[in-house]
Amino acid sequence: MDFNDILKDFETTSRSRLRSDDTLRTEDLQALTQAWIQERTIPEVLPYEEDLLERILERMRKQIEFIELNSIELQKHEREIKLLLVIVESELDRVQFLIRSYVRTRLMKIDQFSVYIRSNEQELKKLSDNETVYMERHLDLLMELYNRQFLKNLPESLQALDEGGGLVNMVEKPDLHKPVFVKCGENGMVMIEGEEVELEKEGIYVMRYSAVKELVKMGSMIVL
Amino acid sequence: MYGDLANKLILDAKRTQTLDKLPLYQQTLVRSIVRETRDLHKEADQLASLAQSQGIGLNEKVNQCQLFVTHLCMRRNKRCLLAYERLRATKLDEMLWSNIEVDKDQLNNLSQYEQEYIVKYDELLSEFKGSLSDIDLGGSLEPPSDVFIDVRVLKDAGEIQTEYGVFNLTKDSQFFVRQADVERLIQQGYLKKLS
Repeated sequence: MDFNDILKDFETTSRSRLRSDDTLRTEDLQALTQAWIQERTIPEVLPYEEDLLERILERMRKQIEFIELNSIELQKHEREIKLLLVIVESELDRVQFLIRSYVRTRLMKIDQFSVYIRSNEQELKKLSDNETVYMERHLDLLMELYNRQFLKNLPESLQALDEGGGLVNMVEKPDLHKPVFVKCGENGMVMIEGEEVELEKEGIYVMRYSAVKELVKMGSMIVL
Repeated sequence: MYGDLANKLILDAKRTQTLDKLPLYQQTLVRSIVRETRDLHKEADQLASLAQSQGIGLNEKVNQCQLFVTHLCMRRNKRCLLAYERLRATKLDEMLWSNIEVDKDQLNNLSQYEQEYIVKYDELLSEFKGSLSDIDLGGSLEPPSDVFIDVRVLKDAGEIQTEYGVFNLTKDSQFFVRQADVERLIQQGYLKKLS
């Protein structure tokens, strides 16, 4: 090939790589925001977004480095850098908040449904390794507390912590019938208690999570 | 009657829900409920064996009812005990997550096992928070709003240093600072955000 052609090729590929890097960043942030919204509205635990978080954490570390490097230059009192730093730090704050809220919401749900998650293979897969370790150890600590406090002094037949039957089930399962707000991506149909409900594109509905669960998973509906 | 003691425990738990700190652990109440449950269990066993030995089949409605109520009371007691303990443990968890200091008064209100629980749970939390060390998982759960905020100092806390300068925290003084820097101090109760 001609040398000029090679140069042109190199330029276009590197430029398109930069552009796709940018779009990847915005897309990732949107994905994180959506994951956060989902985790907070939906009653059950969703699969852990391992890759997404890894990428974002990596970028965060680079940002923190950038801030530290530039803070040293603050002594030159360059106004532009100060403003830039404030903006960068504010954005960093926001992303940190998203991740923090995402993780804490998941942990809250995990704590609530520990016994149920533990007994169910499918649910266990949704947790990250850290979360699984946390759940096991927390359950152990709680069992130790109950046992030593009073449980071991009760008659043996009452010492179980996962009794099913009886009047009240001791194991708490996520209430999949909780209503959620959803927005439709495309026209479709949903079965609710034997009735078919038509869904229009761009329409906003509120309905039970159990009815729209599959569609949300596939991505044709988003939770608001 | 059966279940009255458990009622008292539940009322205490209900009151605790609205409080910031945990009240004194009801050691005697819990012990008496456990005793009541064991007595009920003995009674249930006696009823069952009596029915068997005397051949008065469990088909007698009265006997059935008695047995049933005894079992129900036992289960209810267990449920109340667990609910009480669970509520207290959850409150302690919340405090540990937000880095709120568990002061001596609070510690005195806890039972011995609860105190041990705190230490171990704190360990678990530090490990977990450490795995994502770039983000302060114990930080504020409200979205960051303003970059700079007005704060008033509630307790003397010496000097703190930020990139923008050194602040001397004396009681009732007011500062205009970056929210991110002072979040920790607000959580711990040294500063109060003014809106």
